[in-house]
Amino acid sequence: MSMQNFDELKNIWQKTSSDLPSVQEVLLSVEKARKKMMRKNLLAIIVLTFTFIFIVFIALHYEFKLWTTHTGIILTLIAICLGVMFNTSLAKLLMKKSDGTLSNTEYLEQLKEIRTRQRFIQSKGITAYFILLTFGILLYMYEFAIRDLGFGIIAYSITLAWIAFNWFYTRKKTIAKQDKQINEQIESIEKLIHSINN
Amino acid sequence: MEFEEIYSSYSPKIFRLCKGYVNDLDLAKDLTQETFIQVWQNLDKFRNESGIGTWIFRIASNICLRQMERSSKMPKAEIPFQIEDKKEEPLNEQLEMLYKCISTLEESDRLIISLVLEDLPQKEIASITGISEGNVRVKIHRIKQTLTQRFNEHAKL
Repeated sequence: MSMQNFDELKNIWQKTSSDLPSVQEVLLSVEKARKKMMRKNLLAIIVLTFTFIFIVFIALHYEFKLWTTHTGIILTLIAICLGVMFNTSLAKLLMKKSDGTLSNTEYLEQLKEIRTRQRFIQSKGITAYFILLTFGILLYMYEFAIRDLGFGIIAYSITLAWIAFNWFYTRKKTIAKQDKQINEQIESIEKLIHSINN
Repeated sequence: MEFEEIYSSYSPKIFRLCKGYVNDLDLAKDLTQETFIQVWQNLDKFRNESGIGTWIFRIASNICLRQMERSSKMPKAEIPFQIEDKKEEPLNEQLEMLYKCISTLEESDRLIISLVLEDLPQKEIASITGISEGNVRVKIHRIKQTLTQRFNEHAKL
């Protein structure tokens, strides 16, 4: 092969054959992605609504005698709403994460904003959620527990153990995973900006 | 400009850019597709402040650069490498080699050289990558030299 200069490389480059999908196929995948996203959101909303309705139904259907039961139900409902609020606000931000029209610096800003928001949810948000849910459930169970002390002790132990497991294990693990992921992304985009400008 | 029109005139160019960046046929196709999905989704945001071509190339570059963080880091190709012994046309062989040589470059350099090979003016490349024009000129000069040199070295093997 003879020596090539750069213009000849250009000619070679242009010979790349590309058998790409048709425009219809691309549009189809756009539609698919949109539907998938909608289905996901819809499912979350449906599950939540039914949980909510179910709890409200129980509250109305059974005549509870103690104020603790009603307070418990209200606290649990607030906790669920809080949980959904955090999830949707974070989901909205995360959706923007794949926006290719953002410049690298804008993208970095966005990642940092996500991290700030995520940290807030991880610290204050999840703590509030756990406190509300724990007190809600414990108060709710009280009326049933005092009817049968043996059952009450067992039920309280299992519930507390489950909450403790989530608080000490699941929560910590999730936070560590989220932190690692976002920090890696931020680091890699910082490195990218650095390498582009040097 | 209609999306169909945009797609038919730009998709081969974007595909070459992605292929230059990742040197993997399927991945390049995916990245091309993702670029046009975003083009379609953001077409109403496009405000002619740059040419539509520049805008599309910018989206593609961003998607290419950022997919690195999604998948595991793509390693640079090893040098010296061996051209696989397939019975191909000499043209394909040269093309393969060109892509392989590009894949030995730094990540951002791969994109820049692909844009150069697409015959984009330096000003546009600067705008797409967000590098100053002076810096782009220096970089292009250096990458062109490296690439041509590597291509010729391996052509001799």
